[in-house]
Amino acid sequence: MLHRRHPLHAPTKLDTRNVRLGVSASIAALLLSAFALTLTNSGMALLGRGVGFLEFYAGVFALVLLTATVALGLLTTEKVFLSPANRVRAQLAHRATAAIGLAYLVTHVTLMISLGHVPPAAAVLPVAGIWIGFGTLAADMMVLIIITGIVRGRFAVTGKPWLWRILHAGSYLAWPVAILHGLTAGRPAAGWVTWSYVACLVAVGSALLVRVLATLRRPPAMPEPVGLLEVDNSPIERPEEINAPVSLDAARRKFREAG
Amino acid sequence: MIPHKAPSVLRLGPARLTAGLDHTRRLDLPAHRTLHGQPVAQDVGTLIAQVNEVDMRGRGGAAFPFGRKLRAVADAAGAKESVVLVNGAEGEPASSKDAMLLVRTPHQVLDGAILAAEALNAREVVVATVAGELAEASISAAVAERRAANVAGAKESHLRIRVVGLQERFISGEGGALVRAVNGEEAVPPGRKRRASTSGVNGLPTLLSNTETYAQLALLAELGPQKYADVGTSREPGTVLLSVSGGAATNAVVEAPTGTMLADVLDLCDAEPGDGVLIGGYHGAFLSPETAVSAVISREGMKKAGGELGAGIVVPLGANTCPLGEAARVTAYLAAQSSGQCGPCRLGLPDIARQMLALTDGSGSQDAIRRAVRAVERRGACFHPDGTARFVLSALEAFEADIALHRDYGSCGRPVRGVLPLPEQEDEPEYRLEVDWTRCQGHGLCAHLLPEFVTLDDYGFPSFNTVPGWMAKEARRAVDMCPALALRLAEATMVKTG
Repeated sequence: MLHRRHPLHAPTKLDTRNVRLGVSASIAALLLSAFALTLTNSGMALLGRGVGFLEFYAGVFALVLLTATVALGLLTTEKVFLSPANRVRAQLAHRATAAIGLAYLVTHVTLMISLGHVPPAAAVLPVAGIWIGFGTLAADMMVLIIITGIVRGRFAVTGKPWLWRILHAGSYLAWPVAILHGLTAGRPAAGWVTWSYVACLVAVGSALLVRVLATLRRPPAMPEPVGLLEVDNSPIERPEEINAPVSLDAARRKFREAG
Repeated sequence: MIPHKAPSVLRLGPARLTAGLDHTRRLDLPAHRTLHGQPVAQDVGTLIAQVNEVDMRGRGGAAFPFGRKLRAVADAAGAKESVVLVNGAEGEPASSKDAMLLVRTPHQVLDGAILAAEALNAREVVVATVAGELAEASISAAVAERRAANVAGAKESHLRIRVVGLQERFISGEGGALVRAVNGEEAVPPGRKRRASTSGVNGLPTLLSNTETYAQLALLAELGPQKYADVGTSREPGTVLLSVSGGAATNAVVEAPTGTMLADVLDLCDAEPGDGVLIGGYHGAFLSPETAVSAVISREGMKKAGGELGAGIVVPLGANTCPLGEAARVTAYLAAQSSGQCGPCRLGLPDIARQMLALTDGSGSQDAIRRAVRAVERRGACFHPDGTARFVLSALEAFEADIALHRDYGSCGRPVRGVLPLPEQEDEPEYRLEVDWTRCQGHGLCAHLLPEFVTLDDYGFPSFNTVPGWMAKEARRAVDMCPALALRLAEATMVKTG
């Protein structure tokens, strides 16, 4: 028996009160401990090292997570290998990686500006050289694309889903630009890093190619033809004249002929 | 101007609480003073002695001796402050006597409450009633009248009177729930019983009783015990207020001395007992027509007839409605009114209601109901499960013949006319999932997310049921997650739900 106090239908256990409380509590604890660290000298040193680490790696994390986001997004419409349950999970993972990636992206941009590596205007406009400019461009597009993802339901209601698809597909453009930025701006990347990004690009690119080709070359969905019954064109057989008398005269004649 | 909704009044015997109401809709302060005079303040001892002399009981249903309650509050308060709380939140859909008193003769109630409050040296009088009803407006106006009279030089009491409007629910009339509601907490019965007389409103000792009790107290102080006991039986002197509704041609509050025959009251209201008479409200019991004819209006008399006078609710069923269906309807209402705090009540009452429904179409059995009733009896924080159990068991007993008809033919041939009154049901929004069929690809994610409301056909395409309002969040998630962007959520036409 379905009852509002017994939600059997909850598709995920993540959206429960306890999880929310736990997440909020841990974020609060993290912030409070950061504040607590500023009180001592050794704590300040520790924080400084933390900031240094983020300065180097926040961008990398953002790029890795957004790469995963793009791959997962491509996966969510996969009907051949994934069951509906797994497709729902893929969507949830897609959203989660997007959210965390966005957080890292914001951290990365804030740190780069506050540490004086780039002027503040570089957060939205490509003013700090071509390689950093790629990053700015990619970040702007990514933020816009994530916003379209958040308001996805609206597009379904207003009846312009194709607009959403075009806007959201901008990620396939923003993402390679972001990788270009990651490989060229800042410190030179190690060989294996470059190769893994290229591998990702190739994998996603080919998957995308398959999807686009499949969509384009899919024959239009038509109702399955149902076998018709064969038409018989042979001439209609006329029945032989029935040998019955039609009048008394004809009957007498017949009788006489027969003798 | 008083709207004509004001409950009408009839009487057998002398006019006491209903005095003067034949000529006017509402007794304002001057009219009330002319009729009943100025009350004289008394000390606790005299008041308790008077109350004990006529053995006055609480009129809310439990019939707790009022003298003992007064004594308990006086002892708990000592020299400290206390509060007098008037329970005007009936909750019982079939009861209208509290509303009648508050609407038509509010000063009688206030007189009684102030009498008790001054005797107890109370800090304030709190009148709790249903928010947004006529009763709340009338009692607030009465308080304002008194204040204005004081300004004009009358000698009314200066005690603070506070009117508290509450959300109406069946269980909000329960003492513990009422105290919590007045304190600004959620109006549900507390898990551990606290006596209001030791810790009630704001933690102070609180004298909590029904509206009619205070009105009777004012009457007792006005008449004195001798004259008060002129009418009624010797063991329960005085009059009682009966709310007669249901199959009666005239729905009214009847003032009758104890010892009156129930049949006379029914005659007065042009009512036929029909298949039975419900006594004591939806936590009460049905009397069969034979016992109803010979039953006497008093606590003792009703107990002898197999019922409980309770808050004086009398609902004759009449002959042209299906009594079992009526009982099933009320059971469903009572189940929905569970506050959901206690497991046996929350799960057990809907179970009983379903069994009752099954009985009406002939598929259920009385044994199944008795089993379900046993699972809830005496297993809750308040009286709600027990009262519901009593109601259901008495219905099983009183409608034996009708149940047999239902078992054999699936119906007794009479429609359910809704003779037992239930409150207006609230509108709850419902939602409809709409799909753009040209876009739907049969991904099936919606069926995974909303298994109860979306079913997939053999080809994997969805079909939808209406989604109740409390599932809107999940439905929106399904809309968000549709890979083809084919779903949308629209509000369905408003429907009545329990």
